[in-house]
Formats: sequence, C-alpha cells, structure tokens
Amino acid sequence: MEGKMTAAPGKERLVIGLAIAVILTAAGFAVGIADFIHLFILGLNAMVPIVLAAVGEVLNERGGLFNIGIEGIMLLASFGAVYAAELSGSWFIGLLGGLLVGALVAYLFALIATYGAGNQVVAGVGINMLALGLVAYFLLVAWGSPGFHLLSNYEIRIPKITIRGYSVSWMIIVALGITGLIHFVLENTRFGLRLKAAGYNPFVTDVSGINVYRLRTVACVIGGVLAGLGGAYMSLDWLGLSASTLIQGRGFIALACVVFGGLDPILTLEAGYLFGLLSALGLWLQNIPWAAPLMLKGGSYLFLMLPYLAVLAVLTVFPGRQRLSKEIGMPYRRG
Amino acid sequence: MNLRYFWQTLKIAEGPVFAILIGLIAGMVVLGASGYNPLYIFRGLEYSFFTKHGIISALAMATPLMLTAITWAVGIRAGVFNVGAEGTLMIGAVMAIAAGTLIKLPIVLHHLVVMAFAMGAGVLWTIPVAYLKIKRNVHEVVSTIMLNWVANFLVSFLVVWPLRDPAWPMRSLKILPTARFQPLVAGSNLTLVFFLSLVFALVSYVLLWHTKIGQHIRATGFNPDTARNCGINVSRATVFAFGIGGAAAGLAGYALTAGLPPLWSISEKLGTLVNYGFNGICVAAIGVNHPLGIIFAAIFFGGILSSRSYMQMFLGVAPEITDVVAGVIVLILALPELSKMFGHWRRGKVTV
Repeated sequence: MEGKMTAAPGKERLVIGLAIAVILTAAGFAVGIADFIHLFILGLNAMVPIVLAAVGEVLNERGGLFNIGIEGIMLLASFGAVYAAELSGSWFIGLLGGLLVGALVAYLFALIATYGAGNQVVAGVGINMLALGLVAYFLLVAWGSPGFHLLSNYEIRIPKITIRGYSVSWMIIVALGITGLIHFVLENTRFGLRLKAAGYNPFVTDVSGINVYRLRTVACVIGGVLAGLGGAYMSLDWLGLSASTLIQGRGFIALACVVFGGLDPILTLEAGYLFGLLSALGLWLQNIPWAAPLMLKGGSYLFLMLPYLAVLAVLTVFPGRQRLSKEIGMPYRRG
Repeated sequence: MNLRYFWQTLKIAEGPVFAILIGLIAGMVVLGASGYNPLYIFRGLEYSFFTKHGIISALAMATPLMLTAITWAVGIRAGVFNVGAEGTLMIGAVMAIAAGTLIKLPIVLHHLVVMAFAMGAGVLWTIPVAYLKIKRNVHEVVSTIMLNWVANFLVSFLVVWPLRDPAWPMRSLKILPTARFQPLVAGSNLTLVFFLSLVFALVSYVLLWHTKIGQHIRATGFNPDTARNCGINVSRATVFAFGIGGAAAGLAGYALTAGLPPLWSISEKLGTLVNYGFNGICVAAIGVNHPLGIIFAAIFFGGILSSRSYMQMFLGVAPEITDVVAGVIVLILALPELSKMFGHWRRGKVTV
C-alpha cells in the first residue's frame, strides 16, 4: 500500500493562495476597489456548489468510493429543489427537497457500489445520463418549458443577507462551516477515523468488526446530501432557475478539486474558491468595456472556457498527489 | 465454430437484454408517472423497427453511435474510462467543417482529406488526456470532462466567428459539395458513412483481437501489473487506446457533418452533435464492449433514438425519455452479477 497517510499541503496551499491573490490584485488595479470587492463576492457565490460537492466527495473517497455521479446528483437535486419549492411555496421546503433527492440518488449509487460490488465509474456515468434525461423530461412535463424554468416568484428564492450594500448568500457561510465540520469529523471522531480505515484498507477494517458496507453507504449518502445542497443552492439561490444544463461540469470541477486537495477538506475548499473565482471571472470579463469588440464575435464562448482550462492547467503543472489508497473506486467483496 | 460456441456467444446477450428490459420498464414507469400511456414507448419502437422510414432513420442514427461506442469500448479494454467522445466528436466535426470549406480539392480526394482532418484532430485531442493520465496521475474522467466543455465552447466560438455562414446566422459554413455525402434514400439522412463506420468497427475488431498492439491493449486492461511484468509497455498501450478512441470519435464528428444531409454544417448550439458521446457509452455497454456486439447495439439504440421524433410529433411525449432509458440501462450494466453471465465467454477469449 503506497501513499501518505497525512496530507502535507504546504506547496499546494501556497500556489493556490498566490493564484487567488494575483487574480484579485490584477482585477483591483485594472478596475478599482468597488469592482474588486464585487469580483471577490462573485467568486464566493460561484465557489459554494463546487465546494459543497467537493467536500462531499472527500467523504466518499475517504470511505473508498469514487462517485463521479455527483454531477448528476447536483442536477437532480437542483430540479427537485425547484419543484418542491414551487409546490409548497416555501424555499425551505425546496431546500429540503433538494437534500432528499441528493440523499436518495446517492443511496442508489451506494447500493450499487457496495452491496452490488458494481463498477463505480460506469454507475456514476449512468447516474449522470439518467439525471440529464429525467431533468429535461420533467422540466417539459412539469412546466412545459423546454430546457429551463425560471422561478415563478421571488418568495421561493433563498433570501440573501446584505453587508454594506453587497447582497451575499448565507449559504457561503454554510459551505465554509460544513468544510470545517467535515475536517473535524474526519480527524477527531470515531466515525471519521473508521471511515478513513474503511477507505485505506477495507479488509482489515472488516475483520476488526466494522461494517464497511454500512460505513461507506452512510458516507456516500452524506456526500449526496452535500452535493444536493450545492445543486439546490444553484437553482434556488444563485441562479434562480432550473435547467438541464445548469451544472455545466461543476461536479467534475469538484472532482478535480478533490484530486488537487489530496482528500484534505480545507485544501479542497481553497481549490474550490480558485475555480469558483475563475468561473466568475469568465462571466465578469464579458462585461468589461475593452472586451466589447470581442464579445460581438462570440468571444463570450472563449471566456466560458476559462475554469475548465484552468483545471487542466493546474492538474498539468502540479501533479495530483498520489491517491491515499489504491482501494478507492475498487469494489470490496467480503469473505 | 461448433454449435456450443454459437450458443455461448448468444448467451452473452443475456445481460444486455435484461438491462434493456429494465430500462424500458423504467421508461414506462416515468411515462406512467407523468400521465402518459406507458405503452407509448413501444409505439415509438414499432415505428423505428417496423416502418421503412423508421429503419432508415435508425441506421442513420446508428452511424455516429457505433463510433462513439468504440471510443468507450477500446478504453474499457485498456482499463481506462474514456468519456471524452462527446468533446472529441465536436472537435472532429469542426475540423471537418474547416477542411471541407476552406480547402478546395476534387471529389474523392476531398472526402479523404476531410476525413483525415477529422480523425487526426480527434487523435490529437486525446493527447492531453493520455499525458495527464500517465505522467500526472489524473483520473481520465476528470480530464476528459474538462476537455468536453472546452471543446463545446471552442467549437461554438469557431462556428460563431471564423466559420460563420454569412447567409445563415448562427450556423457554420456548409461543407463544399466535393466533400459531401448525398442521402442514399431521398429525404433521409442515411449516407454511405454508415458503411464507413461499419468498416471502422470491423477494423477495430481486427486491431484489438488480431494484432500485437491490440493484444497489449487488452492485456493492459485485464491486469496492468501483470502486463507490465510480461514486458508490455503499458503507457504505450494506454496512449494507443486513447488514440484509437479519438480517431473513432473524430470520425463520428465527420459522420455528423459531411454525412448529415441536408445541413452539412453545425449550429452555434451544436444541436446535431450533443449527447452522441454519452449515448455511445450506453451502446458500448449493451454491446459488451466488443466491436461486433457494438454494431448490433448501435442499430438497436439508433432505433430508440429515431423513435424520439416520432414520439414527440405524434404522441406528444418529451423526447428526453430515451435518455432516462439509456441511463437506467447503463446503471444496470454496471452491476457485475449480470456481467458474470457473459464472464465465461470473455475469459475464454482473453486468454489467447
């Protein structure tokens, strides 16, 4: 069994901090302090779904599951949240609906991956395809709108808090809190330590009397709830719409954050902010005056590529840390 | 080729057929839950398999599916999960448009040049994936999905600006008549490219099962450590698997531009290109990741896709119901209990 037990995130942390600082400083010099703060907050907004999904995936991978279905879970949850909110007229019920959908889909994945000993990548791809089909289908059935549905009124959008004239979502604080909580759980609680054991060596864990399947299932469902929260945030709070193309690969950006963060929740959070900032930058640059001539010629598409290219660039320049265990993504069979 | 071997070969189909049944049942449940007649799904399939229009349309749909399925299947045989067909297909399509409109050549030569451009672009597009996988230990699913989105936006940009058709906004230029394929049956979009993709499937079968590099690819997928100890260059086999997959997806992009009458072009929203890559995964899973199985699976799945327009127009059902069916089929086929049924056959084949 190769790999390091403890993460040593010194170099990565420095690099991410520098990258964020450079982007924000450059923007600050280019456009002034007001826009600088605006960009900073846009980055926070864009960070939330990536970080929630990524931290959930950290739990999954610590337990030994490799769930690439989080993209689909986010998409289904974003739709489920809007549907529940429209039915009940309350954003809180909507949020709960999103969490429930996330938990159910993750439970399905966990059953296939643990008790069924299935191929996790194929199952994840299946969940993504299923999500795309179900959301597009039910958007049409529920509201007769092909492709997307705008929230019908502002009552069911998650209320924002206002700090010095900037409206900020309180989900940002929730995301930060959850990251800290997961970090604490993984390092300091019995559940977290057992989970890490199940991911590191399921055989020994099983022999010492711990139910690996149940542990992995619980972790996967919690991960699904977090991804569902990210999806519900996107539809009910940030963008205020449900669409079959809502997530746009954010689940996979979250996976890249997990790879880069080496299963450390705090470092994953930092990577999540960097990629969130870059995707916000892509949208923000489109409104910059000097970009106007390019915009006329379809330049917006070039800016939209920014976060994805950044993920590829970061993964190319800094090798993904060795996975903690070769067991991740491998089905465990008892006996 | 005795009778028992034939019977065993037939048995492989058990798993996929079971998965297809479950998928169709799931589709019926979704239809029923949303207030439609669940049997509409069979009305759609009846159209695609028992009417002339339907069969032709199914074969046309099967053309790119066969190729994107081979992308996934070759990856699986080498032990990698290449979900990059979606983006590679788009790059192949846009390169076909570029070569088909900007280069002027006589008729057969032009076809070949455009095809070479599309396939070459597909191969080149997989280089970063192989590099990240081998040198940087990055999971190929992450890098291919990132490249899919890059390809999506890059191709949209190319369609909107450099390759824009001045006469038809939001669409690219049409491929010149010297590089087009005409429909085999008037009014359909079935062209000779169908046979091209059949040939590609057969070639990839020969490549995987009857050449040295194919043997290395399959050995790598079977057990990379053993393969390495046997002196096989595992990295080289992986690069080849990605490359063959890229060529297949690039050819699929070619099929969806040069072989797509009457458009011979792509739109800004890439409506004629999306989802073939992911549906290809389903096709490959149904065809047990074997090029010969994929040919049949692609024609079947082409039938499912061609029933979309029928169900939408005549029954008022949202066409995305077929994506639900495909997703459930893939989920069922991810379970190994079913693959055990055809495990015998595969083991018999792998130990050459």
